[in-house]
Amino acid sequence: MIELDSVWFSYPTGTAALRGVSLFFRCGEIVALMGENGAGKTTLLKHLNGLLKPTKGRVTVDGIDTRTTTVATLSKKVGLVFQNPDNMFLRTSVLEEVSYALEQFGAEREEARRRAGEVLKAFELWHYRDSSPFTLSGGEKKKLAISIVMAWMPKYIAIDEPTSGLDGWGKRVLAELLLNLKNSERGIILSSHDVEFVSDVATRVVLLRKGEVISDGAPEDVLTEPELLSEASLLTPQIPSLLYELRSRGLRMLNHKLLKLEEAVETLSKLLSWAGHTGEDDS
Amino acid sequence: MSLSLLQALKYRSLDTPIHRLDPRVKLLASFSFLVTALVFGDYWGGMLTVATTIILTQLTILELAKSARYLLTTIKGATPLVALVFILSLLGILDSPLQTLEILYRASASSVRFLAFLTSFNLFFLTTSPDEFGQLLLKLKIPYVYTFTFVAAVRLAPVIADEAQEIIDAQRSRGVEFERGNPVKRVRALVGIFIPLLINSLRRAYEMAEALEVKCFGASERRTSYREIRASKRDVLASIITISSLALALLARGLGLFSGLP
Amino acid sequence: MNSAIEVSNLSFRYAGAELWALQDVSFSIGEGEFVVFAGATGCGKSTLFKCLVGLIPQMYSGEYSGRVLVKGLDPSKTPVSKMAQRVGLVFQNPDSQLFALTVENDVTFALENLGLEKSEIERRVSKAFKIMGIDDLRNRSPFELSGGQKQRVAIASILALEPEILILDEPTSSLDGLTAKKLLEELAEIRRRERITVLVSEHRLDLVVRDATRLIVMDEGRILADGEPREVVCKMLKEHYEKLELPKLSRLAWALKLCDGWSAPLTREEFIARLLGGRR
Repeated sequence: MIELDSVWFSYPTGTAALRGVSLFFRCGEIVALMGENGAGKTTLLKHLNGLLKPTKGRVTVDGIDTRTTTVATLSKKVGLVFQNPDNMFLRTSVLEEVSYALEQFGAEREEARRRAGEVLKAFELWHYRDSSPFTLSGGEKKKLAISIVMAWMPKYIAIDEPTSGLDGWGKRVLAELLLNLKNSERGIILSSHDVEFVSDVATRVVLLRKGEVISDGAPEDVLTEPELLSEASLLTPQIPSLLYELRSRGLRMLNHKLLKLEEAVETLSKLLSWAGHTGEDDS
Repeated sequence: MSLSLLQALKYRSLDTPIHRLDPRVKLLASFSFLVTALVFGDYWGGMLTVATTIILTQLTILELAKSARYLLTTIKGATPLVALVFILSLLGILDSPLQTLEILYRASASSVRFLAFLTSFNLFFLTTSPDEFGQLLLKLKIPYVYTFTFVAAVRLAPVIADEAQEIIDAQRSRGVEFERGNPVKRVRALVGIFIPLLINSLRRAYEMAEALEVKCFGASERRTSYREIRASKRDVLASIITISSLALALLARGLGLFSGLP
Repeated sequence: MNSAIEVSNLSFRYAGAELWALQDVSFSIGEGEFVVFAGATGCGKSTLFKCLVGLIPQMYSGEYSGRVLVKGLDPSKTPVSKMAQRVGLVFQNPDSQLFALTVENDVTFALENLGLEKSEIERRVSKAFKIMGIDDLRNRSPFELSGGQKQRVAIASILALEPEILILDEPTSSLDGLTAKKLLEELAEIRRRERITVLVSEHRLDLVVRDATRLIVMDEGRILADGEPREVVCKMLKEHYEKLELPKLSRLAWALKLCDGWSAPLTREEFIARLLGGRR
């Protein structure tokens, strides 16, 4: 478990980016940190592998205080994927890029290349193994950035803005990948302001505003509260927003705490058939 | 130390009579400090007195600009350098047949004069924004392309610094240890940062070139300037004071008026 | 309707590239339209925008064929600085297009380059500041601004050129939901008030289609669909087009058979009207 105990953090310029944040992250979860730009999401992620140390308070990873050990040691447990993949790449080929980190963590060269190959195959990037990382498309770069970190099998994976620069297809592939990771009992922490993506994948949502946690709970509870979301400069996802509006127009029996498309289809079909609409010849 | 020196020289946007002065006047004043410190180079020719006066004058002017503490930071940051000058002067004259008091005087005078040199352009840099500096270059008939390059570089420096930090962070998160291992390994790790930084910079340069095109860069032979530095009465007055002070100092030096003074 | 932009059979391949970035693209855009361009990354949107202001083929070498007319000018032959006064292009990354040390200077920059009189610069700058609501940022440094503020300054710096066509390449890609929504709504308002034509590429279709008069979907350098947004979205749903993130509401409407076979609801209100009113 990663635990943040009333963490305060100020940058040297004096701006307080985190103000008494207490949170925990466990394995088997996908936690989404959400909030407007500057709310402290990235700052928080950089605390998880010790890149930043709290000015006040404590961060522990499986009981180890991040102040007592090195970033390299912590990174073996907590893999951090940066928002802009270009800032992560420095080798001449995709295969090298993945095996490089493995070697840094002490793997033998041959072993590193073998494992890098496996990861690339799993992420459907094997085809690009000899290309330069910088020539990949936005979505592929993002996938490569995640596979670099996955190569050394960290227990926790923190991803900063995973959907930035991804199109609809890329997001679907990523969502599947994250769900697989979750099922293999890893802990996933991501920062995002993409409410629709988070609705589809997260098991928990934490709202941040100006360095403080203003909400922490199940997606069905957090992402269905328009007022709470607007405090974090977020829009309500389309489905709860629709159901909310329908309720306010008299359909009180509707459950508005739904996020998934399939659930909404089911609920609204019932409503339609109950009202006698079947729409049989639509296609 | 070097960092605190740079920090102390960083322009801070404040609204004071000194900040509002024409940058040319401030350049002239800083230049006068430098020249004065330079010409009073003889022991017992007012060297210590003049150097101290220069520093105190600058401190007073910067106090009016609410920036005196940044000069003090510079002075503090420069202490090791000044100490070095002091020790070197001492070593140079220790075996001479001078009295102890005289040796101490000479070493202190050299150190303070050195400090006056070092800080002479603080007034200019602390109270002139890079934008004004750009306008100043234009006024000095330097082609706009150079002015633009200077301003764009100042603008981009923090962006690139942030990016470099991000790349270092990303590498550290992949197990690269910049602070450990043998020197060869450490240098290699650092060199690694420059590749992505270079690629990012090239891409940004290309994007900037496109943006410059759609913003009509170089479209007209006669580029206009919306904001121009223009001397007001106050600036003229300030220049007169500066020039006459410098003239007086040079005159005093020429006539040897300060001879015999420490 | 007079056409602001005429593109016929435009193809372009970057020098050294294997694939064509644009393949036989044809469309025409009328004065005052609000056109949204959508498509997966690398579909050719940015390349097309660069063709409209003449950056392609003037700055990029490659194979170029077809004909483009923007406000009667041919961007492949007209100097970019002349094109830029009729058609303004705002790039995706604000940090690469704001190079001055004060916001004011960034907005005056293009006007100074044109050698305009001081009084004319003053008039245009004040107007641009007012339109984008950034008067309070005038003396700030662009570096200290938030993402949304930077984007506003970038747009103002182009609006100061008083273009008749405004093109924005993914203006909201780094903005949070509320900020993005507000910016896009303002763009729609600017288009109405200033009577300009607006082209914008955007992946958050749900935020932008309400005000759009047209939606053009591109795929691998070609135009896949072009038309009224509700009809285009419906077509994409019908063809199970997966590369684009279609609004969840439209997908929900499709699953519930509320689409009439040719037009999908895009906003909450449209959806409710169809749900409660039965089929149209």
